[in-house]
Amino acid sequence: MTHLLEVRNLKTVFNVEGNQVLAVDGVNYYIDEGEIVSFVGESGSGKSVTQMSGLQLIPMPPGEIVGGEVLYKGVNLLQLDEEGEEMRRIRGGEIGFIFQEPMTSLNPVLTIGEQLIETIMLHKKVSRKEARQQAIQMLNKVGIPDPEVRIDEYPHQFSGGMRQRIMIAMALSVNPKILIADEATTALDVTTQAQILEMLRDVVKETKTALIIVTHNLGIVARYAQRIYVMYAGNVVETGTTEQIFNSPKHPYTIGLLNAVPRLDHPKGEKLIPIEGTLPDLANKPPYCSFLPRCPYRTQSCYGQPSPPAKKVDEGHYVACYVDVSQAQPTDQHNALKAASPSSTLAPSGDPKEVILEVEDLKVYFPVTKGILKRKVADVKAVDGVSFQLRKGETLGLVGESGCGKTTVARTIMGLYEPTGGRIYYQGEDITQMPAQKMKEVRRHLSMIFQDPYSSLNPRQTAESIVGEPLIIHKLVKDSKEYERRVDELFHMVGLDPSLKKRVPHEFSGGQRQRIGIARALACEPSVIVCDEAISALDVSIQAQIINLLEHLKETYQLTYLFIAHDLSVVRHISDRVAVMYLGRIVEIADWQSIYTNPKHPYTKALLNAVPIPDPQVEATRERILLEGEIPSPLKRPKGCSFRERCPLATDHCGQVDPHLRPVGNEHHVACLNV
Amino acid sequence: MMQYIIQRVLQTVVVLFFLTLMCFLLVHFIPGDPVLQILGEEATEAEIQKLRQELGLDKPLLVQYFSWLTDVLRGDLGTSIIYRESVSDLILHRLPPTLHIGFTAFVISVLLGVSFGVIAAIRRGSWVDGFISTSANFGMAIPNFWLGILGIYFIGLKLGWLPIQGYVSPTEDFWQSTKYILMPALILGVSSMSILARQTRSSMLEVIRQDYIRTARSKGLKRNVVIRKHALRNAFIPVITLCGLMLPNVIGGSVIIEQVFNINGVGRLMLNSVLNQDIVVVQGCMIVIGVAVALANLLVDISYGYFDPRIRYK
Repeated sequence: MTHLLEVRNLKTVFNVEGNQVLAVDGVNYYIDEGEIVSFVGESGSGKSVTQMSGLQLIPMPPGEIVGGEVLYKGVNLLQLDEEGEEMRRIRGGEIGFIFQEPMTSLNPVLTIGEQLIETIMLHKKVSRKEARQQAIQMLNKVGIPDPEVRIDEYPHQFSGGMRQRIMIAMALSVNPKILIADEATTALDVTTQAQILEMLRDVVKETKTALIIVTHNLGIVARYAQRIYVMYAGNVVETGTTEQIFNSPKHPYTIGLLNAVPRLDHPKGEKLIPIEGTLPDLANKPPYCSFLPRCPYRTQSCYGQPSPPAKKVDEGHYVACYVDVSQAQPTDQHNALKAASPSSTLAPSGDPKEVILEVEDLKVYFPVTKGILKRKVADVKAVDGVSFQLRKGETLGLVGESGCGKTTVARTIMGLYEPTGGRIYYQGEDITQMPAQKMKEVRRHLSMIFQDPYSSLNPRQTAESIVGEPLIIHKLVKDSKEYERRVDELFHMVGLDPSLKKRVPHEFSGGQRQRIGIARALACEPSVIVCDEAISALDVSIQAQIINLLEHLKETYQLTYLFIAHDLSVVRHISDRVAVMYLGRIVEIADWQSIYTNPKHPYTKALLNAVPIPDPQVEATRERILLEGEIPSPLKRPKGCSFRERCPLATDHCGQVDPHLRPVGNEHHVACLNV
Repeated sequence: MMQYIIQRVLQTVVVLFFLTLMCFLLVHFIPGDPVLQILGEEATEAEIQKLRQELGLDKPLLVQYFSWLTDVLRGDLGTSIIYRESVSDLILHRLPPTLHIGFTAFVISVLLGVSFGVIAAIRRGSWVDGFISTSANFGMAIPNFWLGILGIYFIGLKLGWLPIQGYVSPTEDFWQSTKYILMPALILGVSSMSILARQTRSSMLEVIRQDYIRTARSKGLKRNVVIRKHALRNAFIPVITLCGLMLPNVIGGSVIIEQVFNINGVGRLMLNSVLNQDIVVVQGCMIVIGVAVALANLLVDISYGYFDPRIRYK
């Protein structure tokens, strides 16, 4: 039987600075009409390059497709001229592409209508007027309100979620046979991600389009995909139906991926099992299995054999591994990790009632100016009356979608923004009114870990000077000898080899860089650390390493964390208490059990419901409550409850009264009139 | 968009106000008394006082400024000390060759500079790119008076292709006129052209690797449609800024070029007036050139709105 698309032994390399980086190393896959197939893997696994190679979309040079066949309806696409008529008809006309970054994937200087019409006219050979009609219909189909008007607007007038809908409309407008969604929802908030994925599934079902979902998140595939390809270092290491992959994973990497992510439906105390080590250098791949150095099931014989070929374990289930994981025992080191006592179940150290940091009615407004005189015309109320207490030794999770003000809260606590109103107390002292000299003394006890380990470290500073700088600023060391000793100690604390300390950030991997960021935060021996999305830029296997490190450090040094994140599973895993923010306010705050098992606020419920669960059985029976619409602009806060327009419980009353946090249980507060 | 334009116009008015203020104060700041300049060293005190009164130099500074400004707004830039002629007339007579050459130089430098930049970017790493990039470096480094002399010697004297000096008005004889201005305009535009070519090249290279170019390619568009429709307009945004900055270059360069090619334009008038301490004429030239530059920059700012919708709706 011929498949709609069949790829055989595809090999793609990038020629970088005289090295050949083997990005795709002999990949085989197929997809049939109407199927939903997923490619899963971490960054550098080659999953996106695999998809782009087939359409000759990778930049050539430096990219080069060195081997294999990409058979679309029996025609080998790699034999076609990159810019030829036939290739261009298939690229875009038969196979559509949706890219990761909705914010940058649309041309900023052309209206969205022009970009849609252009595509339709190119492939459907219709008049401009007809194309415009079809474009409006398409926008309507993907859920853009008022498409007749909005078609003439520019990309920057739409939110990220809306832009991704427009991208989807563009790709689907010419009825392609295959749609490739390359990390299409990764950059979006969970509720938007759920909206987009549900819509995508409905549309492809209706049009019988085959859909390829490329993602690093195993969770989202469980609900949508029929078959899965797991990729590692340019190879497909395991493939099978979604049930086979989730219920009986056979490759150690697949097993590792499943164990590395915290799950909403698992007991909280579970220790995450990271995949130790990092991705091999693709320019110098070892002659043996490329996962071997990180594999907990490796045996001596693995070293002597070439990279394992795919072998059949079940109908449609193939795995590229010599070891039968159901028979084999993982290494001792791995067992030790598994057995280590789960730290997150420990009760908060110290007196649970002792408040170390208190935020009281915090308001942070950013003025909007207009005209040549820069008159203030409005305020962006990024944070609008937030109060909470941080108790000694606990981890308070602060969650919410992008734009809800969680990062602004963090930065204001750190003194990076001036509060417009309200107070911040550190151990009972108001730090918003403190003189600069005294503030410097207090600042030592507050530290921050930043989101992006790639851009938050100065590229020209050595790791040593990044980590050691706070020691000098706060005069914590007497002489250079003590400085050296302390820096080495900090490197050890975060699991880095001090012999690397003379290197600059780009010589480290993402996970190592975040360790440097953590060491820097620990240098001044703080008592409170604000983690602002500290793990969200990392791959899942690395994420688990960093979460474990943070938990270990907290336990060892009696730290208190304010943990800011958008990933609810991670927040549940690490937090003692959780606060949910929406549009500059806290809408619900409680201990983690209450938030996750008994959420009261309709927004919290919707957020939790939008989190995908990496289990096809659970997902098959689970009803999705989709939140409609988007977060309103903090410039135009709706009157009354700001969640009212998206809320299933909203009544007329909600439009008049502004709900405030009120107790609904033991230390459980909710800002909603109807619960 | 309208609000954006109004804002820019108001800003230009403010700039022009400061420009006139500086031109006015120039007379009072530079050494040498204009009255003595006119009358000569042997003038009597009475003669000096009389002329002071005539020129209004005895009144308070602010009054002087406003009466001078009213005159300027009416188009009266005063009377030249040396030529004893209305400065407005003087400038008006000398303006056409300067504008003609300056405008031609500007158009040539933008058209050629941008085209070379685009070609170099598309053929990145090829010999064409190498040739354009190297030439652009030369073009920026060589002073234009030297290029002018070389041009006169080789193209004018050795090859005899183009006339070496002077100017003919296009209304008189268009073909002749073009022959006369071609060399000065080209040479005046060389440095701007080189800078524009380099900026366009790097701007294009930056745009070509953007996500939306990949999107455009993934639609199956032809390569030249991708470049023309999707890349160029985005690549132009930083180039336009540079075009605005090039204008004063082109006008300022006219001072030297007109000298080299012996053309009676505003540039030459200004140079001679500076040497003769004919301050009123210098003042007039500065105002005319300043207004031209300010207006050109206003046009550039407004054209941003066309190229970049994000500015329009800000």
